[in-house]
Amino acid sequence: MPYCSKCGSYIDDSMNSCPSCGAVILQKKSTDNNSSQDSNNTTNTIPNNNYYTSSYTTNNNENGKGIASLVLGIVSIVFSSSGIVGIVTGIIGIALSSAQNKENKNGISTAGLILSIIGLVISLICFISCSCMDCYSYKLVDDSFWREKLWEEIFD
Amino acid sequence: MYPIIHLFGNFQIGTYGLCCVLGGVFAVLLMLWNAKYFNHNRYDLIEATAFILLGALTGAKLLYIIISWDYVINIFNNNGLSIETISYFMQSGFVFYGGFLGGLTAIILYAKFQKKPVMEYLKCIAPSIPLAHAFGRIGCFMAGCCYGIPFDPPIGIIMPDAIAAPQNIPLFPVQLLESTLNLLLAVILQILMIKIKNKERIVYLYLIIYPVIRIFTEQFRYDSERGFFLGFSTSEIISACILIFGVVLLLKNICITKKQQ
Repeated sequence: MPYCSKCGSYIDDSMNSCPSCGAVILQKKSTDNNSSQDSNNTTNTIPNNNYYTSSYTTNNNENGKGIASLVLGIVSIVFSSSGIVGIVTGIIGIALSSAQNKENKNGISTAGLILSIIGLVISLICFISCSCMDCYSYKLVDDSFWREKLWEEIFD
Repeated sequence: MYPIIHLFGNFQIGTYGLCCVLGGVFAVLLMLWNAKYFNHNRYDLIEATAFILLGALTGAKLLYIIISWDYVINIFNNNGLSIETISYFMQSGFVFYGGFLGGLTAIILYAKFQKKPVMEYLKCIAPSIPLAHAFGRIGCFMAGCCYGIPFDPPIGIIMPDAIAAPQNIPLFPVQLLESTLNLLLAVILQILMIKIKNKERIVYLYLIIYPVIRIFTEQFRYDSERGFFLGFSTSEIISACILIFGVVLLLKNICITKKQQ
């Protein structure tokens, strides 16, 4: 179903303006790809399934987000043993690199994406414990003293 | 069962975390595969996933704090506000429904920021959620949390080295039951993704079927630390609300589709 590119509300094919924000519809294209056998559907480009309300082009050669994602990916891997820092930096790195790849895909942002994913995965594996509080805190190195201290606290 | 996997020397990883991450990876791969049905930009979906993950972690932690408020206060009163206590607190204690609601909030805000209808993202994500959940429940079984009621063998299983379940008592493997039902739900939703035309109904069906699964499996749960209200667990109450919401949305969608025809 088509939607307005200005406010995101669904609109009918027969409408000439968006009922939510009033933007004028200039171009009509379909949205859903209902064919499961469509092998020509390229999804690595900016989607052309919107109703456009203005037409302009930008020539964005900046790579700030890509560089930031690369740095955050490295930080996420380095701090993956520190728990929440590795997770948060990994998530932000993934978001920034994806945003950069949408605008201007390049090697630095792709590398930032890969490093951020690796850092996030390592951080999550190491530090997601059980969903209940009565459990051990698992670390990369067996720390018996810390486990015994938690055990005493739970059962005292 | 096996809460820790010892790799080499003193190096070890938690089985629960490993299962959760595996589930997340397969869920993201399935979502990127389903992108072809909607002509989505895959990097847009990856960015959405990052925001969903952030929202899910925040929501899961916040809901845990709300339902275990007394226990959290007790921990900080006994141990003080130190880095060790905060680190221990941040590493454990998450509730699935909190993650579900937090992730949903995050995707709604992201869709508004991208100026797209949120349903365009939800349709793509819907079959991935029960798939990730199925892996998470296997992790719960391996860790020995979210355990079931005492049950006789051979169905009841004794969980040695469990991090939360009572030792030496055969317990119903409710984690495996919920994992199987979630996996079945993921398969059904994926088949519907291929077959049906009105793909938003996949989202509504998830909102209807998962709460039924959850209410059913709650009857076999024995971990009372999750919180209760008026005799029902918090998960049962949230499941009932989501079930009603899903039924209303599906009926509304069917009525709108019939009117358009």
